[in-house]
Amino acid sequence: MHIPDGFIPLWQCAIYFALAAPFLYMSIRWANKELDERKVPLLGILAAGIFAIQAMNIPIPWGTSGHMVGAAMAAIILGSPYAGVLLLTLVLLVQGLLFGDGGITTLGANIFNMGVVGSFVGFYSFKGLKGLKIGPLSRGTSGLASSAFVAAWLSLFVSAVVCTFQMAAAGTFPLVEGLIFMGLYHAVIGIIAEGVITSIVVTTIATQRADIFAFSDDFAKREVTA
Amino acid sequence: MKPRDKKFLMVGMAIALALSVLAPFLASANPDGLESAAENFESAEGKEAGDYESPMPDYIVPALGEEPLSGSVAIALGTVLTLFLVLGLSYVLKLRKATSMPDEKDADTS
Repeated sequence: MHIPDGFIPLWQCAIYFALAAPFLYMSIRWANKELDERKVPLLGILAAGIFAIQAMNIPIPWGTSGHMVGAAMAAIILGSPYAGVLLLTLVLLVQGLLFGDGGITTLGANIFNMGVVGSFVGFYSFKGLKGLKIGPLSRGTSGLASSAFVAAWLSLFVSAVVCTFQMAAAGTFPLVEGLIFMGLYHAVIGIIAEGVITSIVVTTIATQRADIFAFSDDFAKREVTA
Repeated sequence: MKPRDKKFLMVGMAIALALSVLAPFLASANPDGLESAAENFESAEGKEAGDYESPMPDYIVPALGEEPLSGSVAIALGTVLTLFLVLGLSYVLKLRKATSMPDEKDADTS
């Protein structure tokens, strides 16, 4: 979903930089306050891992492919949407500057839709879902895994919808058809790439390293295996 | 850094680097969701990218050619660089916290 240079007129690019700036400022403040000895390695691995996994495009039908974004994963594990904003900003910088993946002029637009929107939707939907008590899937580790799955799917899907609005405002995509194609593709990418991987990684970190998982108190009563 | 965190960092980076090396062999070459959608719209045609030339376009090291291994090297470089960006940022933030008198920093050159 990396918007290349040329897809958005420059004056609109400036608006997205301005919209992303306060979130970026808050994410630096988050880092200043929260990044301690234990969280630095965690943020480092998540950023490096998300960069690597974004190079792994998974095929979906209609001759299309897609990869995970990872904003929800970072926000959930580190316990703040600003962690996701910071991580995606760093990853998008490396991708845009070194690999020509996503534009330079459109960096603000990409940070806004994947970093800001993706992190906030992922974080707050996880927060809302984890407390729900509906059926056996909502308890313990399976509750954690299913909440993370749904939150990650929503995160990618809403990012894709926002991206489509950006494309429509730029005159690059027609809105309704754009929403159909972008929505359909990313609904599928969201299941395979975003939902499944986020669910596995969040569950693994929550069970193996509960000491660094932000929401571990909520899952203190998880089943202990082996 | 505690041994437990160090081990965690090592294991995590090993996974990230394994993904980096495998990505060019496993990843789908199909256009992604946004590119695919763009192919349906005339309005998206002829939108020219800017003049900026990245050093490793499309995750390839130009000197190594368009081989999957060239991609592995490029992606592994990006993965390591991303880790260093985080470590660098945390280092700068730590320094800023530690030095309450920023004026002294300018004097330590030469």
